Formats: sequence, C-alpha cells, structure tokens
Amino acid sequence: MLEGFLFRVRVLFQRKRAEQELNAELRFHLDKLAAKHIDDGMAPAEAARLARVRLGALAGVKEQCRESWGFSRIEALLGDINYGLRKLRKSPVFTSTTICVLALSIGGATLFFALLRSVLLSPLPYRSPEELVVLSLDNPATRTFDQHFTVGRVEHTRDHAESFSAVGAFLKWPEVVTLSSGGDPEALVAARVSSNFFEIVGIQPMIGRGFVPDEDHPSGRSAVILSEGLWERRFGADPQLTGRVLLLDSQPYTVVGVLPEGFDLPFRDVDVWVTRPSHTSAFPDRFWRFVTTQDVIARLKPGTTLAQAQSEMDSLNQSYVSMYPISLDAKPGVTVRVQPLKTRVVSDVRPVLWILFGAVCVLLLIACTNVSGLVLTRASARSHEFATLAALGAGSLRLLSRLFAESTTVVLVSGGLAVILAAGVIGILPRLHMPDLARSDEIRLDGGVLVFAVGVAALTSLVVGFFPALEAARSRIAGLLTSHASSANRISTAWGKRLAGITRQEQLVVGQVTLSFVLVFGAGLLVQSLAKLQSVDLGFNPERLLTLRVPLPTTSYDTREKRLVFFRELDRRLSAVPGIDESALMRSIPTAPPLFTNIHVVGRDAVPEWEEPQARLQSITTGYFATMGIAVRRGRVASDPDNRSQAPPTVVINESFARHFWPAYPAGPDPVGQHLRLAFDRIASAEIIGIVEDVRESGPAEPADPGFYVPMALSPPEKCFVALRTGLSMQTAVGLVTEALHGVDLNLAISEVAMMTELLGEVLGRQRLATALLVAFASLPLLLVVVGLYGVVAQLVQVRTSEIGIRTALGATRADILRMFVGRAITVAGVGIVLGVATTLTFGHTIRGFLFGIVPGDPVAYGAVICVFVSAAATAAAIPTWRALRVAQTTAIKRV
Amino acid sequence: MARVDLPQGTLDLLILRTLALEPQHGWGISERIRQVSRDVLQVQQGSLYPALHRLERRGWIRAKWGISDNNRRAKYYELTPEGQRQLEDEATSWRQLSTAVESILDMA
Repeated sequence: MLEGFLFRVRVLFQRKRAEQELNAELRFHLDKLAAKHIDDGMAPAEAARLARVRLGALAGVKEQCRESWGFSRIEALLGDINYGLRKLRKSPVFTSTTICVLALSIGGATLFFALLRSVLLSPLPYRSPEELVVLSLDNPATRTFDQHFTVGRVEHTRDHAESFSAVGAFLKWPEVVTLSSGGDPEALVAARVSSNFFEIVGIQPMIGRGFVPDEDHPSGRSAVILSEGLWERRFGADPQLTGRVLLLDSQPYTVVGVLPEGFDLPFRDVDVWVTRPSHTSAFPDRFWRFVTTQDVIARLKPGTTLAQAQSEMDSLNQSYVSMYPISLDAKPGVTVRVQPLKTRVVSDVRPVLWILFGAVCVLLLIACTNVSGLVLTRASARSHEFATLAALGAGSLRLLSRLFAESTTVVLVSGGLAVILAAGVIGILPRLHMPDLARSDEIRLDGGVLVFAVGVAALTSLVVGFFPALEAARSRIAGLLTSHASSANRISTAWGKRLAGITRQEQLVVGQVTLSFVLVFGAGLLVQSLAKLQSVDLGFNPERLLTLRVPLPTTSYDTREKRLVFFRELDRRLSAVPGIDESALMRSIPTAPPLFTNIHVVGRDAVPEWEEPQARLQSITTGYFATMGIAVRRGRVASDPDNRSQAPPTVVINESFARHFWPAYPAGPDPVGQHLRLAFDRIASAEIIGIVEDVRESGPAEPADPGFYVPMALSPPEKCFVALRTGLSMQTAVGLVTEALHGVDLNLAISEVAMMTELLGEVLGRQRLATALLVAFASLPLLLVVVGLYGVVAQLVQVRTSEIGIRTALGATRADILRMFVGRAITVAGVGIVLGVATTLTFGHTIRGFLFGIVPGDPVAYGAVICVFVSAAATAAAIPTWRALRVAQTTAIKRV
Repeated sequence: MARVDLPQGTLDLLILRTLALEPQHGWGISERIRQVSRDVLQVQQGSLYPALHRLERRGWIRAKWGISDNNRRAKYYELTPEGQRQLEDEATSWRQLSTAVESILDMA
C-alpha cells in the first residue's frame, strides 16, 4: 500500500517528470519494435510506421496510462478549484465579504459549540456527577426563590431523606477572613462547607485529608483546607504544612489538607475552606441555629431518580413545616426544589450561551443563503459558457463540479479560517478570566469540536450548493444553447419556477431578510434594554466612589463596644485624610449580599414572628448619605449625637419602606416620628427621624428593597465596608486607608478594593457581553441582505436594460423606472419582514429574561427595525437601477 | 498462427508471473509472453503500459531506470513482496478456474 501511495504522491507532485518518463518508456518500446521489424527484413521507415500502428494511437495510450495513475478526477477538481479561485479574485469585495461572513459564522458556531459542550453538555469533573444535586427553597406565595436552609432543616433532611446517600451543606456566599500568621495580614476568600462536603462531591485533597465530622461541631477543633494556589503563594508549597496552626480572624485553625487547583465549589476562587456553614460571621453567634444561610448538596443513591428525590422532598417538606411552624424556612407556601448540581453551576450562563449559539447558527444560515445566491447568479450569468462546455462533451457531473468549484472553494477557505479563529479565541479564553462564565477553564478545542467544525463546513457546502443544483437540474444547462437574442427569456426561464411571483433568487433574499430581521430585532431589543439599564437612576452616585472591606476578627472584636470604638476611630482618621472628600463606614455596600431583619411598627397589631415583614438593614456612620450621594426626602438623617452609645435609638427609612408600611405615602400619616421594633439587634423602639430616596442596592436591574438605616452605635457589624469619594488614584487612596487602618490596629488588612462603577459593571457585564456579540452577529447579516438584494436587482436590471431603454424612450421618467425596481425590492424585503415579525412574535419570549424595561413585542422596536430594512432594501435597489438608467438611453436602443 | 485474445483480467497475472522470473522492461515483458506462449498470446501493446502503471499504483510492482542489453536507458519493473503475494493468489484462483472449466468441458 505504501508503495502505491508513494507512487501517487510522486505522480501528483512531479507531474512533468512523470510525463517525460512515460514518453521515454513508450519511445523505447517503439524503437525496440521497429528494430524487430527491421530484423525481419522490413524497410526502416515502414518498420517505424508499423510499430506506431502496433502501439495504437500514442495519445490514447498515454491518456490511459495517466488515467491508471488515478489522478484525472482529482486533477479536474483542482482545475475547477483553480478556475473558481480565478473567478473569485475578479470580485474581491464580494468574495472577501462572503469569506469573512462564512468564516465568522462557521468559527462562531464552532466556538459556541465548544463552549456549550464544555460548559453545558459535558459532565462536571467529579465522581458520578449525575448523582449530585442541590436543594433550595422557593416560596411562590411570597415570590422568593432560591432561599436557604436553617440548620434545623438541614438536619431534618439529613436524618430523614431516603433518596440520598449523603446530605451536606454549604454557605453560598464567600466570606472574607484575615490570615494573620506567617507574614503580613492578608484577607482571604473563605468558603464554609459541612465536613462531608468533599466526600459527597468525591474529591480528594492532594495533600492531607478532608474534614472529619468532629470538625462540624461548634465545640470541635477548627480545621482549614487550603487551595493549591494559596498553599504555593503563601507557604511555598510546603509539603509539611498539614498539622500547622494558622490564625484566621485571630482564631487558631489547623491545616488538614490542600485541594488541587481548579476545584471551584461552592464558588470560584476560594482560598480556604472551613467547616460550620451555619456560623457565618455576618451574624452574631446566638443566631446561628435560626438564620437561613445554608444551601444543601446531596448525592442521590445509585438508581434513584431526580423525580423520586423531588417527591420525597415534597413530603418531607410537609412534615418539617408542620413540626417547626415558627422556623424561618417554614413559612406557608414554601417548597423544596431538587436540581442537578450542574444546572446550578451553569444556571447563569446557560441562556446566554444558547441565545448566542442560536444567533450564530442563524448567521450561518444567512451566510449559506447568501453564498448560494452568489453561485446561482453566476450560474445563470454563465449559462452560455456551460452550454458550450456541454456541447464540447463535458459530462453533467463535470459541469456541476465546475459550478460548485467556486462555492466549495469559498467554504473550504472559510472553514480553515473558522477553525483558526475558534482555536484562537479558545486559546485566549482562560486569560480573559471571566468570573461570569462558569467552567471556562474546561473549554477545549478537542476532536469532537473539530468534527463539528468539519461537519458544519460540509453541511454549509451542501446548503450552499442546493439551490444552484436545483436550478441546474431543472434548466438542463446543455439545452440552453439557444440564440443570443433571447437571452432575457432564457435567463428568466433559468430562474425557474416562481413561487407567488417571486423568483428563486428573490426567495433566497426573502429568507435572508427574515433571518436577519430576527437577529437585528433581538440585538435592537438588547441594546435598548442595556441603554435603559445604564440610564437607571440608582439612587446614589457611583462616580469616583471607591469601596473596600475591612474584616474584623471576631476574637479581638468580640463585643459591640470594641467594634464601636474601632469604627469611631477609623471614621475619625479617614475624615482627616487630605484628598478624601467624603468617607463613611457601613455594614454593606450596593452589590454586596444584603441582610434582612424582621420589622414591627410599634402600636400596630402584633403578628407571629415568622409572619413579620422584613426589610434590609444597613448600619452607617454619619457621613454615609453625603458620601453615597443619597438625597434626603423628609425629616433629617442621624448626626453625631445620634451615634453615641447611649443616644435614643433612631432610624432612617427609604421610600420603599415608607410605601410598604404606609401605603398612602407620600400622602397620609407621616412615617417620621413613628417607632419601629427591630428584631436583629433586639431594639424595642427606634424613632423614624427621616426618609431618604430609594437605592438600587442589587444593581440597576433589581428594584429597591424596603430598607432602613441605623447608626453604627445601634448595630455595630462584624465586618464593615468603607466608601470614599476621592479624586486620588486607587493605589494612593488604598495606601492612605491602609495607613489610617494600621493607625487603629496593625493586625488588620483590607480587601475587595473596587470602584463602585466597576462593581456595577460586573453586574451589567453579562448583559453587555451578550449585547455586544449579538449586535456584531446582527450587523453582518444586515450587510449581507443589502448585498443580496443589490445582486438580485442588478441582475434584473441587466436583463431588462433594453426594456428600460424603450420605456424611457416612450416617455417614462427616471422616477418611474426607479419606482418600478425599488418597489420590487421593497416588496421582496417586505415579505421577509412580515415573516421576520411573525418569527420574533413566536420566539420573542425566549429573550424576555434579558430585557429590562422593555417587552419583546415593543412596537417602537418593530417600527425602528422595519425602517432599517426598508431603507436598506431601497438603497440596495436604487444603486444598480440608477446605474442602468445612465446607460439605458444610449445603449439599450441599439441592442433591440 | 492462431492467436487468442486475452480474457479480461489475465493480463495482470501474466505480467506478474513474467516479472517473478526477473526484473524486465515493458518490451521484454511482451516479448517474453509471446515467446513462452509460442506466439499464441499477443499482448495488445496499447493495454500493456496502462496495465503496468496500474499495477505500479497498486504497489504490486515498482519501476526503476536501468540499462538495457544494447546500452539504452529503459524502465525496468520488478515484483514487490506484495506483488508476490498477489501473484500467488491470482495463480491459485486461475488454476481453480481453469480446472473447473476443463472438467465441465470434459463432461461425458
């Protein structure tokens, strides 16, 4: 086989030499034959002639030899491709546009397939990942979803559930702890998980062990597991680290293990894992059994289905609610949701990926139709050439091959570019570090993806060739060798059967208009939605606002008084720093997880504790409202005297709070002067002294919650944020804050330094990315539609140039002619637009989750997009018509 | 002299068999076949060379340029190991075929 292969390669690449050898070989034979005849007594001239006769027609023999080399077909194809390339080079703009679009769409499809495959389709990299589920609480009655469990409910589930082989818990939010041993204090991201968490997931520490049950008990030893990254960075990958005691928030923790890089549960970028998910430092210890903080992870017993687990959870939920009615997670209407861990991990990116994958597939379809149209146009323009070829004996296969050479060449080139493109993007993905894109480090360009790319390219080539093949089959190109005079008739016949008066080429344009209408419309909605999001009044001013976090170790700051002293001192020092215009300390900042607590308006009828309404609690220093730029609507805000320890309790509420408890607000009874009972800090009565405007703390897309503000003295938090409004660079400002902080306590570190605009940008980031990509995907096909329509009209105009000439000669004005062709183009586009509107009305709801302040059926959006398409169609048609008008009068008459 | 046209497909077998003796050029092959068959088998010259090239493509024979008896460059073909196997296979099936045909012709 190898011999044969080498032979082929040699023949293919040393074609000239092979020909020479063939000649020499046959010449040798002829000479020998002639010599033999001479030996037999024949005259030399006669012998040579006879020899030639005996050898048969020399050319025929050579051709047969060449055929036996097995390359004639490939050569013919190469010739066709070469021919195709030459033809394509003649229209570089069209060709490069088409190649770009095809490469982008095939590459895009490949890229998104790789993303979908790695992120959504491939199993999580854990043991039997399909058995891993997450439990969360929904309450349709109060419209709260994805709520957390109390310790009691976790224990109840663990003790009674039959569907699971193990039940564990974790805290969904990252905690920040300060590591103060072995170097400068450093703020670390901590995850709190139950001791069996790693066992359930099925992951082994690379060094040491996982947690043991004893480490879950409040009285047990405190243990910590480090990430490989932290272990290398901070401890020089010391293999003897296990057993060492580290100080986290000044408390001793024993290092028991190190987890390998890339383990991103329960969230990404964890530095340390600790136990007791119920003991979040956001709450005082006395709350730990009552607050809802925990998410539940469990492993299904082999053979148990999700549905079985769900129905068992439903009945367990019933018994739990009836046994512990006063528990915070047993409010009426609460339901348990069992979902696969994978669904949870990728829940944020799933819809974006599918929408973009859909968009890129539509783009691909449009590109196919476009290239198909290109081939069709050329086929009908070149029917004469084909007829000649057919008359000279070219087989129909050969003709088709020539017809497809162009499109195949385009597809081949684009496919190659596409794979390079996709590989390039996948190569730089990990470096982009997109925290929003779960599992992005698992994305690979592997065999499966390559197979997909090749498949898509092959399919593309088929789709592209479909219409021209249909035409070729019908019009029987060879039969088109008719007189030149009837070329107009011929071409319109070649365009084939009309569907409702629309030619085949026009049908392709209709398809393109429909598909790109859908894309442009979707992109338009997202752009509008993004614009609305960005112009939302947040209720505070995020410009030049720098925020950072100061975690306070619960050991050295175990009492309210100690924390209060710290806050006052830090606040005083910060306000004295030159260059910092405004500063304040607070419990949390916008975009950070909120803290809700029960509220009761003093003097109203008491309700059971678990039915009390909740509001967002914020503890602040007196500079807060000025620093954040929050307007005061009524009354006053707390001043220094209110912030003293013994001052009478005061509270400032926001307008949502006022409307919630005094529905007639701003009319009706004045909330200012009323008193509230606050559950969180056991404050029996705090006077409302003022009302401020609403703040969208969770970002522009989320409405403001009812919220209230108390002085730090009333509710000193365990960790605090600092907000500064400053014109200094971030680095300088952080240096100054660190200096002030170390003036108060040398053992503290700051963390989570960010400009507020950045934090809000992250909230908007997903939206922005999806929008940018969809706009890119939408503008390309719009361009293609223009090109496609231009082609159709140009063709039409060319065929009817004589007619135009006659019409103008008979008195038709340029406007009449223009109206005729532009009207036709608009009709064709109109059909596409109608189909596009129908499609968007049918599938519009899929995009609803991404829209803010706008609905998929928005009439203004429709109007705008329709205008874009109609004017695009008019422009595309007007240009060739105008051109034709210029030549028509002079040349057309002559042709008739 | 009675001449017999070669049945379809036997040319390959004859070429392989001839080359099994020694490497030979195209002319030599046709002469050898003619001589050995006592002028009964005449290889159509026009089909000899396409056949040689076809066999070479299949890897059963390979070609190299050598010097012929009267000092001219000539293209010599020789059997490859694969060609040797092919020859054995084809010879076997040819013998089976001819035995079978003969026994039918000899039917009493």
